Amino acid sequence: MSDPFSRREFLRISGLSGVLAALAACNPLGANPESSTPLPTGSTPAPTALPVRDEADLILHTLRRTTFGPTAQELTDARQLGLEGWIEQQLAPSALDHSDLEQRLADFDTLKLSPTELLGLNQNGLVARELIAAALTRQIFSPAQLYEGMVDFWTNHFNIHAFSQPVLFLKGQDDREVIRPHALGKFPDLLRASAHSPAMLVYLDNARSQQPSPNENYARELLELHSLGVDGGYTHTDIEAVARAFTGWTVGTFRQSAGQAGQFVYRPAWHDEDPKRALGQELPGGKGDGDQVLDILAEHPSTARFIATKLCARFVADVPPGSLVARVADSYLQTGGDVPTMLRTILYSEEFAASAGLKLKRPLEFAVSAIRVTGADGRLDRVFRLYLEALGQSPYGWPGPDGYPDYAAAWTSTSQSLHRWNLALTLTSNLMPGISTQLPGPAYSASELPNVIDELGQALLGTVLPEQPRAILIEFAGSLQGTDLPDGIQLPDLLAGLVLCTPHFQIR
Amino acid sequence: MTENLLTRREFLRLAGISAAPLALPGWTPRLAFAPPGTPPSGDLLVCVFLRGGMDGLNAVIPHFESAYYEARSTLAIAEPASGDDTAAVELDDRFSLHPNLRPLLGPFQAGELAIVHACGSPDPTHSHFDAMDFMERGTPGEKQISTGWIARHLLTAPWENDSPFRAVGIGVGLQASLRGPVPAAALRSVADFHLPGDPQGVATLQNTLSSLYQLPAPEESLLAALSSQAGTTLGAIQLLAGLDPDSYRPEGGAAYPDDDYGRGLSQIALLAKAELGLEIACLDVGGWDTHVQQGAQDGQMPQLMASLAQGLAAFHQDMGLRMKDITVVTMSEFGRRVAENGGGGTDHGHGGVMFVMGGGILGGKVYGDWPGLAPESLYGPGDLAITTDFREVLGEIVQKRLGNSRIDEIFPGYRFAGFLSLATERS
Repeated sequence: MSDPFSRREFLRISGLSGVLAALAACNPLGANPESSTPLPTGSTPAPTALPVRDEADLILHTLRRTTFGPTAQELTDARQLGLEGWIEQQLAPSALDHSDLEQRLADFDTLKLSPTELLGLNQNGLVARELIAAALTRQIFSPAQLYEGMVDFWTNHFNIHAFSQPVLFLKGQDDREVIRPHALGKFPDLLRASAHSPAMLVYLDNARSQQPSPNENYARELLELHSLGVDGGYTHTDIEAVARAFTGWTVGTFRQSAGQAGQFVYRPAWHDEDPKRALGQELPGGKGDGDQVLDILAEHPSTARFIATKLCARFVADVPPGSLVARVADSYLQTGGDVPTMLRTILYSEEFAASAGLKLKRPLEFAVSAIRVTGADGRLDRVFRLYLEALGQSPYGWPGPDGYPDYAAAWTSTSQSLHRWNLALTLTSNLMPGISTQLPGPAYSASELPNVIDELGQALLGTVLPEQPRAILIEFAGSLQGTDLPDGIQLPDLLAGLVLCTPHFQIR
Repeated sequence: MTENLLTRREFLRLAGISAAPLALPGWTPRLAFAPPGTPPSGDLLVCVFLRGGMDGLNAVIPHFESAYYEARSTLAIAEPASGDDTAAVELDDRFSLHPNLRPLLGPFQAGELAIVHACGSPDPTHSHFDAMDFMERGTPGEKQISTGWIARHLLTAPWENDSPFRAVGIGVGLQASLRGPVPAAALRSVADFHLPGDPQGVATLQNTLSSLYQLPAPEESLLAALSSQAGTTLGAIQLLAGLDPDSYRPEGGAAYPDDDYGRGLSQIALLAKAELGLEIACLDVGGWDTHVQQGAQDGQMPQLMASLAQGLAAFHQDMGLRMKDITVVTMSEFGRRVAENGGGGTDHGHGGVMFVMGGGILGGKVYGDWPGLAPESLYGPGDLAITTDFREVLGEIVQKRLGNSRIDEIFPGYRFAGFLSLATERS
């Protein structure tokens, strides 16, 4: 993948040297690096989960979990619609106005091309950049936020690392024909579509699996990661039989037929026709073996439990309450894996309402939410993408089949803190090339500083900052009052950056 | 694979450790750590994790086994006697190195590189994710313990070290072996690790960030975890400000491979030489999951091996006499199936290979009982059996080289089988 920016250039432009030099010249706090700001005192420890006192709190909590970071406008809309109105609207996304998003997506020339057209284009860097930029554009600008969140969820559940050939030419098709059509549909349809997806079959080596020595890679991950879960009650013998069942499920190549190139193909000559026994059922041989395996998996209670657990970990807590997981698994079994029904079970539950503050934004959610709440716009496929890579989460970039981890311990590290701070301060200072923000205007006086900080809180966090961090920012702002900052940077921009640096903005 | 945020109480309960003697270092703006030049209490341990399941049988070839050649019609490496460049490089009358691992021959012959074959985690899983978790937590088959084995070593070691660089994971996230109550730093590169600007400007911002992250938070909450990491981050920024990675020159003509792994090793060398209190460094190398077109002489695995060997040899060269205080160990979640599959690759297996390198290592020898490749000797679906538990290797290093005897807490539930005697007692 060709990269328009060198690493050195990235380091240079990510610097805030001008801003910081100016701060040092005028800020008494900067005079002695050893001095620390006096801490406001406060002795009452907050509960582990944040309190949700009323419908407004619940709406904020719900939108933090179901969007890529709620904008002020979305919060206003949701408060008008009420909680149920918002959730139901998000569960029927086709009724929403997508015209602005469609217009933005029209800029991506490669988005709708078939694998053979992409191959013929011979512009791999462009294909990769547009794949990433389209995903980011949808996450930032789509009104169907819960839908895009589920697209991201299933993209990770059926993870395919896109940036090697020929998967690069196949992942877009997988997104269009597997993930997006079923993201709010029925899980069994998604499972079957994924098993027929050329990108998946290539990525997990099934495309080359033939009798008499089948490749076990897809079979193993199908059971372990896509359906039953690692403790779902299968044996190595089952994996071997499932691998044999899927022999011959492959992808057409140019050599065989231009029309089938990059499409699903069943090749009988590669299939192990002998009868087999998998997961307690006899498989007679033929393409139907794989279909039968998928039926078994789709109806299996272990699949219901595994999907329920992952959904609850996504929306509620890293280790979700067992009571809720059981009810979501019931929803799966009663409705044939209907995703909206499972989501309703979660989002209308007491366990969900009691879970505020328990989920950490992953890097992508952090970065996308920073773009959304600052009203930023511009090129997402260049410098912004490099920040995502520094943070360790760029779309389609996780190498393994298990998808990006969805628990806080994987994303709390020194590297995370540093790169999140750098992204926040660079973005709000409008020092990120190709991207500009729309933050509140610069006019204010000393007495208005608390108001400025509260406005920023409302715009960026959906609520004012708690008293202590608010006091720290007021003190910081006061010390810079009346100072000219370089590069046309306005004090509110810098304060906005610090709000995005707070622990409060890292919470989902 | 969900994982709870570790709570101290939970950890203590699971690990069976009394809460009394622990003073967990909460971060303070004034960092206290050993003065420069103070020798660490044990070796520096460098842990290289080969992710995906390295095929130990094509790395350290049992050239005396005809079953090896029968099972691998396209992947087998010719026995050393055949003599050309593509042949295996003889170590002893049974084992030889893949030709791309030839750079390891120097440290091996110098007696500073030991190899343990038929080694690994005894749990039968063939899942990458479970196997990696089990190995990094040091608790095969046990999913209730969420701390890493290295974190438990740091917690139980009989000395204190408040340096933010006591333990470093090279990469964006922190390796699971390092996760636990003792802060460890994840570092993508020394060059990246700063808030750029003049020192006083940086200090201004750091003070404000520091205040924002020192607000009271309950011990077990997400906010507390974030605060702890923020503290380590700010401390690390201060310490690294004095380092200039661009001007780093390896010693002894050492040349690290030009890839993420090579750059990672040179970062570790830089940090080690800067004497910042580094005790543990973890590094990952991905790409070993060679289901298809693994390659005998050329291809994915041979390329990975060339880089692996070049890096280890370069580190050995670069650190020179310092190697007397350093132990490097490589591990992988499992080995691969003895028989190659129809796609020129190998599927997930069981027993594999560990390399152990250092001045205190009794090298020049391939350790471990060889279980054989006869059908009745194989494990599960046709894998190399395990005769040496990886914890036996690590346990010896921890006790003899790292100076921590609390092996029951580092590897809870494991009955230490006794020393392989691959390391000398640190004097």
